[in-house]
Amino acid sequence: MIQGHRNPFGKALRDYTVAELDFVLEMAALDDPEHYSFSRAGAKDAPAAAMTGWVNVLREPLKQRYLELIGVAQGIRSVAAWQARATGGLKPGFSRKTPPADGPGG
Amino acid sequence: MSDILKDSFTVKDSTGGEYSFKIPSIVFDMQVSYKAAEIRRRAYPDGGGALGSIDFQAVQFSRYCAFLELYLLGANRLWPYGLADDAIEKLDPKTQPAVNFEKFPVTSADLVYEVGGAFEEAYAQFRRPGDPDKRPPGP
Repeated sequence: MIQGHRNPFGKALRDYTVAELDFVLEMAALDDPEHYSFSRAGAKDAPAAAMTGWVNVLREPLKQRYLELIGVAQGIRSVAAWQARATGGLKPGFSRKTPPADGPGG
Repeated sequence: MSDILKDSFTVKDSTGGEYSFKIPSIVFDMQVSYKAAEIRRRAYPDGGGALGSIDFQAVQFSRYCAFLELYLLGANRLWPYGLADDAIEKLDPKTQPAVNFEKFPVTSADLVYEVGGAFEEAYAQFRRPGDPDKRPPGP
């Protein structure tokens, strides 16, 4: 019980961990974004904004080198590879372990 | 038609550098004038930015720095952002890119003249409505 209030659905408020309370507050902020906002300490989006800033001002080929350096280029390639696999890759009845038709086992 | 939608233009230097600039608005002359005076003040506070006793080269250099600080949108060179061009590994992603002439490497002085001159030449085309291929972007 905290300040005379009791949580009727579970344990007392003081027994929740900080992470659990953060989760509740975050969900509440998502439910009512006009009135509430939630941001985790130390997890501000400033670094991401700065990263975008550099991506916006750098032109090729410098931009590509920068994307490689911060790892974004690898991420983009991975997503493209995943999309290629998801759309044009394996067919029903086949698996990655199936030897290719013109391979040594085909 | 493409010119109407265009909001930037690109100039090149002799080393392969490409710099894209926002197309200035009607207040270009005033913006550049005030910014150039501010740049001269920052470079030499005792002079107060006045034009009285400085030579043409200083005036031109401050104007070209003003072009870069006011209108540069992006480049494939790092010197406008205060870094050597081979120092991309030292670029801190947590910082915001900012054009500040005081941070230009000393090796970029000639490039400032080159890019500034190319900017003036390109911008002049937008002020010349006679040529249908070089019509200004706005009404």
